[in-house]
Amino acid sequence: MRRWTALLLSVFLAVGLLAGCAANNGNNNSGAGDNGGAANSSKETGEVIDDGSEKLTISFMPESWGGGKWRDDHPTIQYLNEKFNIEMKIMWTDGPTYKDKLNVMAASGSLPDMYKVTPDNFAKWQNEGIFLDLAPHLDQYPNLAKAFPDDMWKMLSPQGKIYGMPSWGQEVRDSYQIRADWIRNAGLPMPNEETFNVDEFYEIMKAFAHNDPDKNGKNDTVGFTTDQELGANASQLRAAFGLANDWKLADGKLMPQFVQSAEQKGFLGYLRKMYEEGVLDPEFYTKKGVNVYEMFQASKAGIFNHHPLGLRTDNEKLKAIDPNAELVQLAPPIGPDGLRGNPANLVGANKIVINASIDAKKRERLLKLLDWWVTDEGTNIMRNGIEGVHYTKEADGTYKATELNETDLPRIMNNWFFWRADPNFFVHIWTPKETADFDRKFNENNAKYPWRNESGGLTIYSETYTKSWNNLKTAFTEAQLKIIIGKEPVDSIDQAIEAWRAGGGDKIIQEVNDAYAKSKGN
Amino acid sequence: MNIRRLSGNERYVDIFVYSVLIVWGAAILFPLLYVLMTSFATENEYLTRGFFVIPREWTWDAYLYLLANDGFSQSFLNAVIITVVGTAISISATTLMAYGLSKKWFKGRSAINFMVVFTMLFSGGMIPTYLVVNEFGLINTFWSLWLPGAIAPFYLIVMRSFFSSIPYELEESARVDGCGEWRMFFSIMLPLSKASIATFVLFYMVGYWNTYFSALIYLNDSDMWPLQVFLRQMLVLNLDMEQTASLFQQEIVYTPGAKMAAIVLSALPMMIIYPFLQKHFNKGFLLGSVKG
Amino acid sequence: MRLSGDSRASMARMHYMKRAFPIFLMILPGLLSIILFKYLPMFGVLISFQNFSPFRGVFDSEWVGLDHFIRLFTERQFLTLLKNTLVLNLIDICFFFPAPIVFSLILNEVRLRWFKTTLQTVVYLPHFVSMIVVVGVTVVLFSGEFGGFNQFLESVGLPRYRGLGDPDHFRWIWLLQNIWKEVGWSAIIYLAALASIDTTLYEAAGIDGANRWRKIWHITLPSLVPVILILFILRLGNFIDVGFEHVFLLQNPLNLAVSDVFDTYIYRVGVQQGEFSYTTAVGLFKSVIGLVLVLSANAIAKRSGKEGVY
Repeated sequence: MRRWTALLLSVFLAVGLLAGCAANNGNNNSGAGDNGGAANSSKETGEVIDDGSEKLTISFMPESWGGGKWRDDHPTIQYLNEKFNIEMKIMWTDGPTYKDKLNVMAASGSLPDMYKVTPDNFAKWQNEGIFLDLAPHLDQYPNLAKAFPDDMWKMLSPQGKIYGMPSWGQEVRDSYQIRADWIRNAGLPMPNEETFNVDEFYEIMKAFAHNDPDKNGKNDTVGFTTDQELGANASQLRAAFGLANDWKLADGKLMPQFVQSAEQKGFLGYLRKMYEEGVLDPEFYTKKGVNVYEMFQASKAGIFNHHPLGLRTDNEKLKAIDPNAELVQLAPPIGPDGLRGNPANLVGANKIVINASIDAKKRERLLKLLDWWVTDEGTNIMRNGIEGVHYTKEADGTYKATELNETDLPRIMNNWFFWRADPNFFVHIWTPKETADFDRKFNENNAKYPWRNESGGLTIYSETYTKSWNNLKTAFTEAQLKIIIGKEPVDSIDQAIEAWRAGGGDKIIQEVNDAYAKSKGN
Repeated sequence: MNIRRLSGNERYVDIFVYSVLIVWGAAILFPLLYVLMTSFATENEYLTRGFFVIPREWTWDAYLYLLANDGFSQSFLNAVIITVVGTAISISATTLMAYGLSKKWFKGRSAINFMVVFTMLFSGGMIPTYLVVNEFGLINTFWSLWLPGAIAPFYLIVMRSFFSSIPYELEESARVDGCGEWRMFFSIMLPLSKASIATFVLFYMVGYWNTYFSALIYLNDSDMWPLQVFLRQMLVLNLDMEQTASLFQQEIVYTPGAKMAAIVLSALPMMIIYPFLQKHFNKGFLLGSVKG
Repeated sequence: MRLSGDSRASMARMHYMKRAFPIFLMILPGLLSIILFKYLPMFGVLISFQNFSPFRGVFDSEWVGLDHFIRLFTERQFLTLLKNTLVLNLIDICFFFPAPIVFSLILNEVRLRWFKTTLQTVVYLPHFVSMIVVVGVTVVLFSGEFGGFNQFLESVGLPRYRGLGDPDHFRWIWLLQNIWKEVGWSAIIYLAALASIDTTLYEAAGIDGANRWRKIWHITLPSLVPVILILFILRLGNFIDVGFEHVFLLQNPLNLAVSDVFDTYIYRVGVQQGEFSYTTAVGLFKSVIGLVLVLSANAIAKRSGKEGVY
């Protein structure tokens, strides 16, 4: 009998609880609506509501990677609190589980004032009225408005609205880095950027695999390395053979790489030959990206697609293994049809959003803060920290990072959460000129050969894409790998293409192109 | 006993037993030694040498680095608090409940037992559970880890079956002596089940020690995160490399040695307590002492 | 004094209440935890019949009936997923499940105390090494090119092992890694149960002239049966689960035909996309199968006079 009492009790509790939740959500929504109204009216009258006199609490939710975060009395927090008369509350959130956390906070109606969203959630949640529309406010914050290119501001927001700030990144970050000492040891000429093609690339990789490029008398190196998804190091080859970086525009229509039969055959035939001749790492299909990188760092492979910072640190590490090691940037090889490219990221689809339910006062204060953040002065502080604490000025006019800089990590709020579009993002005030110049040159070289995903992030509007893209891709990769290891003929890719189309691929193409037409039409 | 004559047959059994165990032990020990030793090796050696059990060049750098890291020491302390208090709560609730449910005359026992088993199969999922925990105001407190996880159904069921094996006569005779249920529990059952409790203390401790996902979901304040979160953040970073992630996710790079050292340090407390608890449960559950 | 039937019954009830109340109090804290934090959230299974949005909650999300289940059952690789999941679980039940039992029986035969406790501690340790590391160390040892074990094989004139990525070897590598990591941990319960066996039974058997095999067969093993049975029934509840992380780490596009299971599939199509409803629907499907298996196994156990799990 008591059991039933208990059960009954729990049912009551459940009902009460659910009612409570529902009521909460209702309140939140209506609250957001009210504030929206207030915001509009202030815009109309153009009057400033916030005079800065009241201390406001502003909450941020940045990602935390590798255990990095700020202590509560971080000098930068103190600086900002004082400068803007705010109480900064930073909720450092584990990077890999950020999305989970955001979902539970959304469900319980406790989202912070400013947070990051991925493109899919940005699209899904737009209609819930939870993102502050920045469009009516931006003209009052000129620095912020010009901190990002126009197309990034507008990307994935409906016409006339700006629901979030772009999470900026460098478009072409990585390029091949190759062991120049190995090329010399193999007796091959250094490639000439203008004419370097996939055949020369093949010869180099072949020499790396078979000609003892590290001159240690042992056959302990591999040639070309990639991972089981054909991800690491493979982008430049895909680009050379004309494959899309997932999507490309052809005759005014978006086309995915999975239907490019001729290009797939060229790309797979090339890798198949590599595998046959022992040029491709024979165990590549067991490896994840990180294993590929480890082989490179261990001086067992001579090529890796990475960024300039990686080049500098890996060069040092490799020198410890082989004093002659010399890493150099390598231009992407030219394919049979003259195409070449380094992988380009789709920048601007990830967003940093402001909670629509904050009141007008807080909105103005927060935007004022961000408007300062993207100036040279603000970026200097958010990137380098506080002078005298995180870096010091030397007698000769140069700057030097302090020891505290390594534990305080003043840069992470900028680099992990919100920053302006800035080609010199990697230059700290204490960075030596040679290093800055080297990185700048590296980036400029990369920028010459962008291999872009031309979908503009529109895939999020395709329901079938969300449901099936990953799953279809896995099956397609299976077919690709079977061809490379010689289990199936190259022509069998046509069956994989058919299966991809029939399994939902055609529907994805249709839906994405509908979204594309709509975005062009508007 | 050692003077006892062993028949030929018995000697073969011994040879078999020892050789199987030595081979098995070695198969476990060598990979473990590798993990341990990479934490003392230089990055260079780790990358180039492949498998080894004795590093050429010893270094304590990884340990010094970790112990000097605020994040590590803070999360270690949090893990200790979560584990100690959580285990106390769980073992109390579980022992009481298991004992209660072992009473065959208690009406509704079967229904409650079924309720327990049912929760092993069905769960409401992340968001609904979060909403409930939130509604009780437990978010961002350690209670969000202790209260929902107070009962591990699996341990409860196993523990209950151990209690069930107590002979009924024992209970009857105690009752004849005028012993109430509470007194019976505390002065007869509890001392008898020390070994059993030690085993489940170990299980719960290890469970709380390994708390990871729920800590991330329920604790907003990163200063409250336990060690496993820190460890995961060190290890998992690598897996994301293939994504076109921001360059600066790799701001903080840990050497392979530091990662291995973190694994070693995080397992260390559980290794240290093991012999203490092992001593108890090697004496066996309940019955031996009752009958012996 | 004679009591009427009624009052005798009420006396009995009073008596029962008096006895039962302390027991009820003992059960209460645990029961509350379960009801509040396990049963209350169970309204969440409703979202498998919806297109759930965290903003609308369970009541205002769009209802879609059985759509998600239909999607699962009509998925191209549903049968592959089912087959792989069942095969891995059968392998696990046939080889992994008995392993700690066998191990504890063998260990129980050891008379050298220090040897026993040392070995027990050694096999317990891998439990604390995460799967990422276990899989990584396997590669360091067995990779065809650079593996330490392969170098050893070569140095003694044996051929290298090159099967790490071989689809035919996937299941056994998976099993062996599981055994390596968890046997010592899983054996704890059995070892504890073994230690509780009345030693006088062995002495009596020894006087009767029973050898060690017969003692194991007639005394040791039977005393483990109740524990084995309970663990077995509970294991059936997870019959359609395969630990996600481990399989995911070992998976590659060439072994999908044997390695793709519900857990990796749902990660690919649901978890990464934040498709809560579909994820929950697949979970519900697995739970129902687990429930059916547990109910049946428990009924069989009870019919044959053993204690079940409820």
